[in-house]
Amino acid sequence: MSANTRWVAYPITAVGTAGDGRGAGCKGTRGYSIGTASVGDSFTIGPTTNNLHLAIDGDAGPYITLCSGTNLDARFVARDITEKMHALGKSDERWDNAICRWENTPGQGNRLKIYSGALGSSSSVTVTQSGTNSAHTVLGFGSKSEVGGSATSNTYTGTASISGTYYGLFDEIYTVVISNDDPHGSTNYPRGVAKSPTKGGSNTYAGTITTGGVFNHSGDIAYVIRIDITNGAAMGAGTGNVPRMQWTSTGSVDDSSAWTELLYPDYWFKVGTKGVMVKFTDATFNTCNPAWTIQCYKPDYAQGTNASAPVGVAQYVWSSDRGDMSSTPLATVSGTPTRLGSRGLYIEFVNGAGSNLYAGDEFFVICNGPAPSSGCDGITSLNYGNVTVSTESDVKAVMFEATSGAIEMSTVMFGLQSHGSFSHHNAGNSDTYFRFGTVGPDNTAGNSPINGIEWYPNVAAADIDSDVSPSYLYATEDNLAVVATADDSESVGNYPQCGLTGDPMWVNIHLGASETGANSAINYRCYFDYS
Amino acid sequence: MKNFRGWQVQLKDGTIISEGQIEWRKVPKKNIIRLTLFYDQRRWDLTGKEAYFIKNRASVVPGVRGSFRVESRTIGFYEGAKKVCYHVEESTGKFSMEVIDNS
Repeated sequence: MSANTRWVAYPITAVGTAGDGRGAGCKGTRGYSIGTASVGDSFTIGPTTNNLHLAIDGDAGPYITLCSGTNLDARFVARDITEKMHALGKSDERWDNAICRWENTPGQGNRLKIYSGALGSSSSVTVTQSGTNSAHTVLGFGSKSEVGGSATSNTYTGTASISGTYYGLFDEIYTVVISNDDPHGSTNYPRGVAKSPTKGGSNTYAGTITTGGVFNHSGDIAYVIRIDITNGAAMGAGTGNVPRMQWTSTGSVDDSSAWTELLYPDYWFKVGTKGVMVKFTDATFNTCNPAWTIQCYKPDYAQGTNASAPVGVAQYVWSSDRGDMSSTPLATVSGTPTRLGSRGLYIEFVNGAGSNLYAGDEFFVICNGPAPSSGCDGITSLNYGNVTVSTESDVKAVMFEATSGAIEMSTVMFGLQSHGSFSHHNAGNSDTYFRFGTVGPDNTAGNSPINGIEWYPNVAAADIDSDVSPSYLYATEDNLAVVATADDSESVGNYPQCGLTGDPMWVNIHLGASETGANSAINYRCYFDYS
Repeated sequence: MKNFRGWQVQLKDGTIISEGQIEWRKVPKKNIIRLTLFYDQRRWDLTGKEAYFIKNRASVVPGVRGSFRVESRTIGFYEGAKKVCYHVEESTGKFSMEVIDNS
């Protein structure tokens, strides 16, 4: 059974953006729509079911046309919806920063969830349950739950402003909470979440559980996770065949009696609605209760043992929904932006007019990755154009991904299969070079603390003409050899959170002074493991 | 199964499902009593395991649909956090084993 793949092109000038929720100063929450009808973990979309009619914040956009295919991976479909909303070209954050996620929701399990790019009480998403060739039924929006955004409950009267450049590849939302992360003097609860959950006595899981997110609630909560393997003991086996989890919480304030299928290893699943996430490495589970207890502590202090503190004294923590998290709190600096995340962003708390920041005050930053330039089928070739001898061609940026026929992808390798009619490549007078570079969500780059770079705009030929990569790329190869096996090819990262995606790659050619291979066609080949 | 290459499962009710009939993701994993990897006249059988998996290594010239080819096929099973893999190279039939530790 073959996996269906595509080759996505990005303009090398593309760059991500970060928004404050459409002028909301990063305050308030996003409105959203969840398709609550039962769905599996893949979607078949065709010409009569590929239009999604949406209104965001009351603005009825033109319908978006989704990529068609059989058993498309749910994570791919979510990203496709996201990119199509952005591609409407509204130049309005409610659309440009709207995000669709394939995520688990208490009481629902794994579902498609579409968020507005705006924050606050005007934020909303409406999925229209009619229209020509509507996709709403196949996507699970035949029944739906739609909740509008809410105004902030912060005590701080000011806002947050965002600066810097977002070097992420995919959309991402950061949650920023005022806290000095000091529950009862312990450092074992970064962002209020137990770093090491307590394992139940009968739990035989031998893999690694990782906690994430920022816990923000008015009281402490211990989440008790229960695991059931009636349908299967291992992840990555497809809906109906995987372990499931549900959880209870202290005082039953944030329970989910609905099961969440643990569909994928190394994938963030939410626990409750207060910001906690978990992921698991690929190992078998057993039915047990409790499987883990995750103790979470509310933000008590803005600084020291003070519940509030002014800008310049108060501290903050953060986590993104893709797992870019603070390990220790950072102090705010009055009049100066301070770091947010590891992908190039900065945050500044402004316009507070002397108001203090209070523990638990929260802000959201909505990030939008670079937009691909290719359509649903991707590209079938790269055209380097007319290249003069002794010069470098344009640099092309591409990403390899599987869209269906697979649940997991790993060990992505990229090689030059044929250099075509070029006659001065590794020919003893090797003056024609095939360049390569990569960075991405799996293999990030940068210098600490900005070391979460997943994408870098305007990568130039000079960045990949050496085997020593610049700080903003993970790896480079100045001259790919012609190879015939995966083992001889270049390693490329892969990432399961937003599809089955390989890390972006940059390629170009340098023509030697004596090169005569005019109109040469060359072939690259991607190797990948999938199941 | 002459000249067949791929996985095959036998379910508790006796049903036989071979690769190409349905996607692996739709195979009811809890009902598997045998997972076999076929490579022409050769076969490797796995039985009595708690959880099984399959994996292929493939390659493709990006963007060229007809260029997809299988490089190797793998079946395997879990031992807790360890994945025991049986690999067979598609072009040579060469067999190897590997244990991946995800603890």
